[in-house]
Amino acid sequence: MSEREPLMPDQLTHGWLTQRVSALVLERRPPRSWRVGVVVCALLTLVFVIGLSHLFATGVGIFGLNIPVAWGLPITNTIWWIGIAHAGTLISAVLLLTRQRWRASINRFAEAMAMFAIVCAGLYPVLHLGRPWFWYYLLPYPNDMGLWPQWRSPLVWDFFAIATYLLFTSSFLYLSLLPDLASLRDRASARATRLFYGVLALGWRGDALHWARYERATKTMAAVAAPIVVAVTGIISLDLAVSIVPGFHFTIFPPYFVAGALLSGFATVAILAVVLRWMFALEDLVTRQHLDYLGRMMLIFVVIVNYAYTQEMFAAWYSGEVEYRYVYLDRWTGPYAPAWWGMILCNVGLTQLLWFRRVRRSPLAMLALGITTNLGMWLERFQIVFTSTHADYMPSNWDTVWPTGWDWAIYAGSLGLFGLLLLLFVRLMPMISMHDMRAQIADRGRDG
Amino acid sequence: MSRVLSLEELQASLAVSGSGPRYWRSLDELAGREGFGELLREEFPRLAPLWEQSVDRRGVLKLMAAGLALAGLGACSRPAEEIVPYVNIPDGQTPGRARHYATSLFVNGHAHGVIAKTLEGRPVKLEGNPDHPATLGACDSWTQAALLGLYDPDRSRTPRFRDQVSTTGALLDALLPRRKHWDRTGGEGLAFVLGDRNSPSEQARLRALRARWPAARWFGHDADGRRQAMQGADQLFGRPLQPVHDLSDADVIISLDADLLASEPGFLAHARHFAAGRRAGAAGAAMNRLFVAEAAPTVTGAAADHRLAVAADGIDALARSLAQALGLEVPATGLPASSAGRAAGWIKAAATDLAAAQRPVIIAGAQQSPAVHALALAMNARLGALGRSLRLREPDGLVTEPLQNLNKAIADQTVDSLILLDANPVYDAPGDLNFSETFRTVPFRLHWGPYVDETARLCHWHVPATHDLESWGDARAHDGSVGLIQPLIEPMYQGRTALQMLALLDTGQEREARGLLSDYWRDTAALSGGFDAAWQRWLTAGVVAEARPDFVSARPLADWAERLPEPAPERDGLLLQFRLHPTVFDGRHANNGWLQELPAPITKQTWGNAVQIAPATAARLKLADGDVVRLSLAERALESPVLIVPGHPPDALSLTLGHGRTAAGRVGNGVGVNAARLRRAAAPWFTGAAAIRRTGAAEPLALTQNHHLMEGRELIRSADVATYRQDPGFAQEPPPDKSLYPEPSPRARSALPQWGMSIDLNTCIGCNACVTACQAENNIPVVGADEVARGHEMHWIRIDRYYEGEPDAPRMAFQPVPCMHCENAPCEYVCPVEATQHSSDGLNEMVYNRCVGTRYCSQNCPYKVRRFNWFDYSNQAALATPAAANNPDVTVRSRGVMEKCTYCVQRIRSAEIEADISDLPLADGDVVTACQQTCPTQAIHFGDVADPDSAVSRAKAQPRDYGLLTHLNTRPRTTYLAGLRNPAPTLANGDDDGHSQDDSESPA
Repeated sequence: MSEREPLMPDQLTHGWLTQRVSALVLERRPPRSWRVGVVVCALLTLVFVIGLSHLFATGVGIFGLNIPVAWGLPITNTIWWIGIAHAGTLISAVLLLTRQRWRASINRFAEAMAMFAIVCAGLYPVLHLGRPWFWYYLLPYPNDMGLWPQWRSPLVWDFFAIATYLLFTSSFLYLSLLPDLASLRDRASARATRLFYGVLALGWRGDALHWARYERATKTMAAVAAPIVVAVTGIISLDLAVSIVPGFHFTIFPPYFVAGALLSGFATVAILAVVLRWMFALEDLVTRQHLDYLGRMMLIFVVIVNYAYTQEMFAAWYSGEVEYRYVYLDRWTGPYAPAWWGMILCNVGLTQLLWFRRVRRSPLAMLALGITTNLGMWLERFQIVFTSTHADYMPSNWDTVWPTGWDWAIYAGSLGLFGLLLLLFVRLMPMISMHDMRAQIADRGRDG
Repeated sequence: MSRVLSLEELQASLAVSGSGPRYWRSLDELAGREGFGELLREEFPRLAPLWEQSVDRRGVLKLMAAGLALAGLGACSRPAEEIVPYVNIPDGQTPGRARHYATSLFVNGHAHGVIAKTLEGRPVKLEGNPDHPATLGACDSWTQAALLGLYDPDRSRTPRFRDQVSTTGALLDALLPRRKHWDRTGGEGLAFVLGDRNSPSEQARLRALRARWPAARWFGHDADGRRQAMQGADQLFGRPLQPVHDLSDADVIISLDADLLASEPGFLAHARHFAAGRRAGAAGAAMNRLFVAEAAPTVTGAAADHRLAVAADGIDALARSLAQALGLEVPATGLPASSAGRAAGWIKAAATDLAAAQRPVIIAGAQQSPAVHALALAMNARLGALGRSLRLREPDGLVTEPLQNLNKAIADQTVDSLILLDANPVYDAPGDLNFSETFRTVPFRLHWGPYVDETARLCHWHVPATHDLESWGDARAHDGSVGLIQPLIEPMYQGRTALQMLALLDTGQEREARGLLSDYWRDTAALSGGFDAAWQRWLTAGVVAEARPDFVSARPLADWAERLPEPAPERDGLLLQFRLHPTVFDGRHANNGWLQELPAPITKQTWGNAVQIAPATAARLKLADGDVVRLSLAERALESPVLIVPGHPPDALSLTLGHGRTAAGRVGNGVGVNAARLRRAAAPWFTGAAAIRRTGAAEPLALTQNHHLMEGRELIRSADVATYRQDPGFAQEPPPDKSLYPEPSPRARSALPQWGMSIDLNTCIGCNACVTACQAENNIPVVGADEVARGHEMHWIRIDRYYEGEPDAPRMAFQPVPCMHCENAPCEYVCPVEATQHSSDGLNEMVYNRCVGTRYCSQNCPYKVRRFNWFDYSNQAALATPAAANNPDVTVRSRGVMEKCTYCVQRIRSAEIEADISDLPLADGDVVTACQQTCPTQAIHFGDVADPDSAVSRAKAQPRDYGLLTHLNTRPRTTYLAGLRNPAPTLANGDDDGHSQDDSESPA
């Protein structure tokens, strides 16, 4: 960390910033790349809808699942989406608490990303159910059977974890949007727009009392967020770790999964940062220095995840159980070995490039590493879910199963849904937190 | 024959067509059409003359008067048989309460006595009849699946003429001139093709027909090759006789390519007696010893103490060598070079054992040549087994000519009328006969059978056969004893029983089915008491006690050995062996979904056949599982995928018969390939000079097991008897580490009884009967080949098969795996909605209507015994089990729910209700699970594990008892008794199969 580059242009003033950011929303014509992106994502969302219709009409047999591999791509994707959802909260909450100023220009779309990722993550467990129309059996609602959910099952914890996270993320996002919505209300020229943002702004007037309450609320929520970040992914990992399946049953799973989640989350933030700054020409607000910081965050979690890999292998060996050892040998040499080695290449090999400052500061390199890291994290979840049950205790049951076309279609569709929601969000809401940036400008004045 | 107007044409001519309505003036216009007269004569033969003659005034008045009189008769009901309306429930009949009837079924031509369960007049389950000598209370997959056959919607429903719906009346009219002609000529030009139905009353009818038309010729299609045994007896004794083997108390059993535990006639009895010898060994007495030489792996080979893989053409040489070793003077041949080393050791050990044996028996496989049968019989005679473990009977039924003679007779145009009874030669005739082509040239072809099959489609006339469960008849078992067939349901369609069909041919009249049968027995049985009492007795018992088989004695001819045919010269190249399929047999069961989806016991293949090949040969030919090969013999060829089968003899290919049907029905059509196309009539079971070539294509095989090694995990535990004697607890392992928490145990649970199961791997032969029984009892859906290939099969109990040892001579072991009903069930705590829970009596229960289908329970089940309804299997168009075949006591599962073995909870609860009503406590044995009830070897015990005196507790108290994966602290309620082997001392040092380390005792 030699000379630190400025995180914003020197000439940035409050007025200019507000003008700039609100224009992205209020200006009439979005960039061409945005429109192309929306069309592509909308088409993929259509694929998602078609896939779901077919799924609900025929049954989960359309996925590449069987006995013994009764969880396949849907669960892989759940864990993957949950992971992506994590960096958003971490950036908003933990970096807020630790007063990391650089978060100001990226926290808004990171939170939006978290929100939409959790939507995708929450859809998968429902659509992978054999009878999705009875999903509400997981709710503790009064019923004539006198039955509650089974509290010993991690899937119930899972249900509450995802629901909590969704509620929390959406409230946090909305709370931090309030001052900016008010700015938009004030700047909007059309009456309908004014009404829209005015209703959403809930009467925010920039009153000192408002700000004091706002500060207290965000700080409190951020303090609550930190344990939630750990708990949600930790609980998702318990879906696996609480079982007795070799390859699932490891006590290191909760921290391992949290680190993995944050790695994929920061990788996704990096992708979005590069894409959005290019799409909306925000190179001055989302600077290379931001990418550098994101790269450093990724690097921290790369190290933790790589350590977890070694510990997982060690635990498999140290358990002394033939089944656990076999699962590892099978991961290295079995039918799913390409997934394991692909994960090692992406998450252990390529990520080491993040040690280099030039790499971290290059938008293209960060985009590429963001994509490979997300791929690597996807492969990690794939190999955990598939290899662990495909060859577990009874060799007579061993079987290999591969995702089907419907698996891929629905996965691609969920990516499209995520992209569509995000693109609509950046069009309707300020993608950069204006009030956080103003605070930063104010801080700059104080420092300088 | 002139053109016949069909009803469809008539309707078509009346239908609105083209541009607007077409008016017709009167029915006369229709009557004027060409072919109407023929239609009329066929449809209403007796009324046709009325139409064709002109009617005068007096005639009109007569008809009007008759019409007036007949109108009154319309109020009369059909007088033939009494039909009681169900509003008056018959005495003793309670809705929902099952009634049981003893009857018999033909299983591959022989009688299997069953007790059929009916609910509200609907058969829902078949069990073995304990009093029947062929079943002894057990059952097999074929019998179990016969139930599904009854409800098969593809069964033939009406008589057919030229592929159009017709009537028996029309058939009778068509037969009338022919029968007159046959009466005149003594049946000149008439030929019969008989299926393999062994029924005394039918045979009497056939003999009557033969007496009536002496010039008629009689052909038989030898589906499983059993004719060769009689030819062998002919070579040895000078007259054809049927051998009847009896394995009870047999101490040394030699099988020369005989699948005596799973398909040879009497296999259920053989399996029971074999298992008794194994059980005796486990109890401390001497254990029997089984030597098997076989041409393709079967469950019999897997059960053997010494299994020798020999190509089918090497069995002859092996039999000769064994005969020589026993001191018989037969012309010698060398042993086949490929297996000479192993074979010599096998023969030596077998001969040593046989010489010392008290009750030895040698059985030759039905598909082996007459010479091998003669040798086996001669060895039995030499060892004094004749009259003890081997008895001889006069052949049943008519002596028939082989099918190739028929082919020749048709070609010579000496046959102009052909009547086929329950035979399908168009499908299964050897390919070199080109039978379907010659068959078409016969001017009159009549078929009676249960399906409009390949043959029926090429016949002028077809008459549907009734299913055995809706027939009156009788059936003879392998040992000659006879049981009655009684209907459990009115014939669903216009089927005729065999006796009705024969009576129709004989008398030209329709007769009532029961009368035909009772008339026969009234005439035949010499009874001291009255007939009616005896009839009731037979129907109740299922067996005709008075029809005891007559055994004859015979002695070998002096010169039999000289008359043995020259042994075949050593072949070079590949031998092509035709084997009967373990589930669809020769193709007659091809339309039965339960049997198609039943994994073949060794290969675990479902839905189709494959070219089976030894690992070494496959490596030499560079073939892998699923590679499609082109198999050719002379100018005929077919393409089929390859399946590598450890333990298959090298340089031989096996292909099973019974697949590749084109007119089996919606289930069986187009599954696998028809091996009969490659068969030669002269050498139907094996033939050399087969060529094999890779096509480059590959086909997924619908296997239910993809990994075949135990990977050093002690899932199946077994030991030699000698080891067992020294260390009876060899299968035990140290108990899992003690938990800090109180652990549940059956005795500590409050409710009584506590259910548990014990499965004896020492007697389990892996025959699959339990799998089908479970399927029938528990409404388990059929999913089809594609779904099985994806790992979506639904069987609640599966038979795991593992190989051990060298790939060319592996040891095979079976393990039936139902739900373990763990005390600490891993499935229970992970279900988010409590859809699977523990009952107070120790069952791991599945609540279908609560299940949302997260499948977490299956993920966490280390035994992977749970099955998931990936699609709506119970309503699939083609494969769904007809609703009527379902057990009403068991829920039919919907899409998206998990299911698994329930220990037949419906049987437990109904037994409890019975006990409650009668105010008596449940006794041991009151609850019998479907798998336990059907098991031919009685390997499964079920009952109260909290009661130390129950059979299951006594089984579990044996030192061989062990649980699967107990180190996971699941505490399974289903446990196993370790298997035992009894290798011969001379082979114990590993010179044959390398498995046996310890000296073991000699049998007996």
